[in-house]
Amino acid sequence: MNMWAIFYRLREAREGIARNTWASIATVVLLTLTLLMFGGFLWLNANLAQVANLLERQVQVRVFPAEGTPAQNLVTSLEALSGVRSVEVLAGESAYERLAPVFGRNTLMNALPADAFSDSLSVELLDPDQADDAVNQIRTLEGVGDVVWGQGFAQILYRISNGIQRGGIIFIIGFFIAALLMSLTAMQLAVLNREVEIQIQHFVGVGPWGIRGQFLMEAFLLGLFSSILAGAAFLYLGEVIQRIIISLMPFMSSQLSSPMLVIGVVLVTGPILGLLGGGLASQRAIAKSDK
Amino acid sequence: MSLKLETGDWAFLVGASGMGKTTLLKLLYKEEVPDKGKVLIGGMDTSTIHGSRLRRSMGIIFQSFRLLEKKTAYENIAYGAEVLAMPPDEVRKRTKEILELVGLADKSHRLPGQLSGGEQQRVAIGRALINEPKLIIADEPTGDLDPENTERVLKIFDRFHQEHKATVLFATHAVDVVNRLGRRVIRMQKGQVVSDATGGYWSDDEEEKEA
Repeated sequence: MNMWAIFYRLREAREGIARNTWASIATVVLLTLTLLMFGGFLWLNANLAQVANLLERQVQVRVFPAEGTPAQNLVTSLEALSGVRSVEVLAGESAYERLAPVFGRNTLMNALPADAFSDSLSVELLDPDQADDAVNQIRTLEGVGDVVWGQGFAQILYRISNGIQRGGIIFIIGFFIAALLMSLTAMQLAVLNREVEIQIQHFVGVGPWGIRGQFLMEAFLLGLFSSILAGAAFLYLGEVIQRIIISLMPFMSSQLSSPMLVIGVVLVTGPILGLLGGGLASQRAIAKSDK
Repeated sequence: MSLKLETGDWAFLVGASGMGKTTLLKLLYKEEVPDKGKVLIGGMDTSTIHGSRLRRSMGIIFQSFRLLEKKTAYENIAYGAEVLAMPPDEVRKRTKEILELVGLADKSHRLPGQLSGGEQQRVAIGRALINEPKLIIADEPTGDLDPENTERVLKIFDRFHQEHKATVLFATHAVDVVNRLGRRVIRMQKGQVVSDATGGYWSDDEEEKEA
């Protein structure tokens, strides 16, 4: 296809979009919505999986001594356990410092008494995959009150993430099919409207892919336009959502994945969806030109 | 059936409806593929060439005009060259020449709906000729035209034939035209060529008998 062929196809595609104004608008709206949901799903999933993964890789286990047992007394027995890399005693007051950025110092001071946090021990494990066994061993030690570790929460997050993945994939597939059908319908309308043009092209000797070119170009433009709209909306909404999450949970600020990768995926997916619709719709139009 | 046209020939293809004229033309531009036998164009077997490549060297004209209603006469003619990706300067130059040839230079900006039937057919002819075809295949192009417009259309074909040495195969029912021009006449009946003679004569009676 030479430069002039692209120039003429672009012109025809632009005229075609203008001719089927409402079908084109409906296609762009549906494609944009699909891409927005697709992007949102990808982003949510990426973040949940990332946080869950982080928590799962968290090899630190927090051990709270039983009442009346000084934390220092548990250090030796904890260090003796297989799978334990190191043990550190954490003073109760330091909990204030760690929670202050999350809940605000004043809120904590008002809500909790000064001795609300007792001393505890932070146990670092050698292998996070062996955490279950290590935690069970720690629980059997004398003087141990409670054991808290991140993997339990990570597993809940994973379950949520998997649920979102399964439900989301079905949901997105449904929307993809709807968007594809919409793009197909719009392009079929375009093919019907241009029956005479197709005949003329056929008889002057334009090949099947040349005839198809204008419909693919038109579908590509609709898809590209939709993906730019969805990308722009996602960029704006992504930032807003990110700001809300960070204001609620400051510790998440370094954990949230950037929406830029998702926007890139959305920008590529729109034209692909459009091209699929255009390709399918123009299949019949060129069938007889294929001799 | 065996039929041969030399480069630069002009032949009328006559016969009653349903006798195979259109099928023969379709075989030439590969809209139909023969069950047996061969169609050779320029010495090449058409079964070995893609239809679109074959049609690029042809100008195909029908009884129906197949014009684009939202494009002007100029744009309709230019469209035939644009879809083959001809550079815009060349398209402009050739479209002007063709508008002169078909006698529509003064109506180039008009839409098909603002043109008479004869003028619309001349636009369709212009579109078929803009790519300077070596073979013109005309399937009853004057079928819907009055004698005056039929005459004009024939003059266009004749001029193009003379200037470009193009081969013309012209299927028609117009007995007057065929007999007056005294060119080669190929008469078809039930899918067979029953006569092939230069300066051939064809009468209404013959057509009625065939029908």
